[in-house]
Amino acid sequence: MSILTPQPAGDSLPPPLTFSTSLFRQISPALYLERHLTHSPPTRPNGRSPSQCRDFTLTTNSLSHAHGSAVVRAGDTAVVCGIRGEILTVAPGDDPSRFESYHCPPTSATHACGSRGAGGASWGGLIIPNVELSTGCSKKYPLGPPGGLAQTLSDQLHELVNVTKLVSLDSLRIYDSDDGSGSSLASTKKIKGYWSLYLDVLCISLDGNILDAAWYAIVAALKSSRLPLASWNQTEERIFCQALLNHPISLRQSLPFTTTFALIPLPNSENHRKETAILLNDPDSYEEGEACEILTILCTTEFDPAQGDSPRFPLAGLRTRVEKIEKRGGWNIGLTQIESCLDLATSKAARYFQSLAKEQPAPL
Amino acid sequence: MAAKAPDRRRNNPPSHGTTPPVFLSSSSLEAAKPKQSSRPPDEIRKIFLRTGLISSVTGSSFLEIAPLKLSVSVLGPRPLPRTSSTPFAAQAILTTEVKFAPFASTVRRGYLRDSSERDLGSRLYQALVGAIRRELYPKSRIEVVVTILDSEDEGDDVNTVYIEEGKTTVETKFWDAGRSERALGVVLAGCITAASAALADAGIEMFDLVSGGVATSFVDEANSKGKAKGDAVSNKLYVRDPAFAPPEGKTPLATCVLGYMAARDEISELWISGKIGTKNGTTEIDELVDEAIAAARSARGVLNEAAKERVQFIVDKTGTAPPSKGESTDVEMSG
Amino acid sequence: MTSSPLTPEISLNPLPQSDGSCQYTCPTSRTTILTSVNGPLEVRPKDELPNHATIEVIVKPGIGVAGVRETRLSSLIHSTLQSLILTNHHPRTLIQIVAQIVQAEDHTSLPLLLTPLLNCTILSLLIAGIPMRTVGWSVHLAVLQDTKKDIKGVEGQVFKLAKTGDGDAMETEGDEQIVVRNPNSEILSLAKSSHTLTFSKEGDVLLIESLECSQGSGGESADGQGWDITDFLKLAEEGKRICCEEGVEIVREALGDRKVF
Repeated sequence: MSILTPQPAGDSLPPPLTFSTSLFRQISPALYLERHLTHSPPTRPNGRSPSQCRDFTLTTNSLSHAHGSAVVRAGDTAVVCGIRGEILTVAPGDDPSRFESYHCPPTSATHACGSRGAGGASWGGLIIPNVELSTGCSKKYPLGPPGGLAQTLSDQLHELVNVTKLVSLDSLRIYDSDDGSGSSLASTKKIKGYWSLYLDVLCISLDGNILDAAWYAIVAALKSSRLPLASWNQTEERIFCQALLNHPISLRQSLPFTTTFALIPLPNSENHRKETAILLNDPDSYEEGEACEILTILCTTEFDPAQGDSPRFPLAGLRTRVEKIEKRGGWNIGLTQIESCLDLATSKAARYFQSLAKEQPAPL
Repeated sequence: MAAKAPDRRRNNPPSHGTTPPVFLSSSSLEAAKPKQSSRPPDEIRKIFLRTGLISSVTGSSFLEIAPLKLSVSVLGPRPLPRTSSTPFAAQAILTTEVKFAPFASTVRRGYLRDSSERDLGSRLYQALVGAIRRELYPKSRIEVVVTILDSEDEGDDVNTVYIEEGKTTVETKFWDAGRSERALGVVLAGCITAASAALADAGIEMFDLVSGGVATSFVDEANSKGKAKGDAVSNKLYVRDPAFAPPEGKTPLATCVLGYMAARDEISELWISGKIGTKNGTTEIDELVDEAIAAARSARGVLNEAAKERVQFIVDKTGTAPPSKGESTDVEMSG
Repeated sequence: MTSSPLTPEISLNPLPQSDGSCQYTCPTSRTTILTSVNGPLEVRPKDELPNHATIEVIVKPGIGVAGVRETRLSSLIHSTLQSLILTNHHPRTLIQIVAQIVQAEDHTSLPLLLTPLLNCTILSLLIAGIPMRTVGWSVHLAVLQDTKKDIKGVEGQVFKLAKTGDGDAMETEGDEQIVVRNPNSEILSLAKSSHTLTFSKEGDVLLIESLECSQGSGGESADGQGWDITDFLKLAEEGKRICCEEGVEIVREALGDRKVF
């Protein structure tokens, strides 16, 4: 990893004041982190090396009412994602094609496509991700309606859904039921409605890097969910579901995962002009509090499906496609560092992939 | 649904609005048959209770009773906000919030608190407020937040339409008057038990731990219809911690939920709903309350275990030092 | 440079009551942003920072009330400005930035809005005389899906970058990627990926918001999308050149004889 080398602590320090480490941690987080990271080898206060991410656990389908669910715990960050399908009935004469494409531009500059859906707070598409942080997950996050962080996260997840195009929107169609009268061709079937998927992510415990955990929970929950078989009932003129039959949601083959890094500045006394800094993989909230730059990489690695759905090692031979890079704040992360972060992101994606493959599919 | 303005702090569904799936069942009997538990009526379900799982708050607990899963966080005691409108508070101000996750019940719930959640919140407040030594924390607030991740099945038949000989009936089969009270009662009892475990984990001084108990009285289905209520007294069945499905051939009469402080033998919150006979009213209430207390006593055992486990964990981790959330490192610090 | 069709229309200080304001119109998408900067102001006690100025960014949508998208936009601008503004020069004060989307082709598109918002905000900060570490400039680049397709009305904005041969059968037909600078929504809908890049005038990366944006119904058809990191780095180098050379030139020209550099 090409992390800027931290400068050793100067020798001309004032005589040490003695107070407990926990007090030091509280009153001067910047200095506390700096002292840890300037050690050689650099070790974070939580005991990890800069490039090391937290261990995580995944449990899928532990909830009884959701169509699919996942609980992800990465260190002290714990999120629960529950997926709930609801039915959108297409009104006669309505053109449903706009539900079937990601990144659909507005039909014209006059916003003919929606009465109030053209800007600001608007109605959405078939997949509705939301994050709830007002669950008492951290003493720093206030209770009440979603604040800036929760709103930003909800929008980021919405963007991730759109960017990755994870769910096949075609598979969410609900057709007119064919009564065996020869209308077996898919083209002759009429679309009567769609499944819309509510992806609700509740943060139970917040200790930094919620985006990675939330996105992983969404991917795992989508992968494990099963929707009831739905079809249009002509006599009742509404959509009914079969209680005993269900089907999985059709997803992409190559699953995309996010990896987030935080950059901690290390102000050093000798050279004020150019600060050194250190990149931390999977930051916790203490580190996030001091970070000036956040880098998130969304990538897919094409694992060989012939190898029994598990990634093959070493990862060097695998092709990684980047689908999103977001870098915000600060000026210390250079382009070359992004390249080296991608390797870490790939190896993390491999771990995500493995633990997902271990999860049993939902019972039929 | 579509008529409402979109929520400007969240992602919104399509403007058409969506409806929960409705199930079609041709054979109403086999689909809607609720599972019967083999548990004796005087035994409560197994409770899983663990505290201190959330590191970033002062106290927390996680409780699981069969399908019910809930997480409690205690924030504070922390100072009241510094505004001119904040009055002086000689005692700590306790706030309680109960929220179901959107995916916690049969029908998807919205993010906005509805009336049953507010009701549960105020009942939880009543149950806890008397137990906390609030005078020790002046000018501060203590917040208890309960998030319910999964709750007991209210019956899939809420969304099921039955077809019988070509005719559809939307009538639900196992509907009874006390159904939502019983479901909410179990949730409230769980909230009370888990919340006092979380308060203990937060190190907030209390007079006693409060545990929640719930009991329901049932009568034979035949008795409940048209017969004099006095006759029903003799063959009443009391079930502690009732599951959603009533026992075979029984009809629920009344449900009692209470918060109980076992060491002081005090009831901090009492909620009875349903039919209680008028003739022998007092004894019927007494019997029902006694059953609920017995359920609360059983829950108290679990509560004590959880508290003991946590104390042991802290002692093991820090030696004899007082509990602290900060992790100690052996890096030499100066500055 | 002034006669080039690429130059955005910039009008300085359209709002005389504010400390600094700017109206910016993107030359191609006609996205128009109006920003005003006020500061240093008195700060609300609960937002006060002992060693730094508090920065507040409010993005107002062109239509309707602000939703999650606007909140995210303001948080992106906020984190960029946090590192640009020398906040320790005005501790315990407030620097308030209000950005109003006046006109946009697609009010929901983050990539189309972000570049004009950032450029406009930076210009109005310069006018307001807020001390800044350096000046940044943002450019929006779109990589087109189909290399053969002829695009009208974008002369002077298109450039080609050689692609790194990654030996993939799917992409052998084009060995270069066609990049359009500051695309409008029509071109963006043909694009494979969208890259909003912000560099400081010294060439440091301030903000990257790159995302795959091809259309489709998802599922298995989306497998294999995305880009190779080396292609991205090449693109970013080009973006850096644009920001550092042309962007700085535009800022210098717009500010004219105002002594802010």
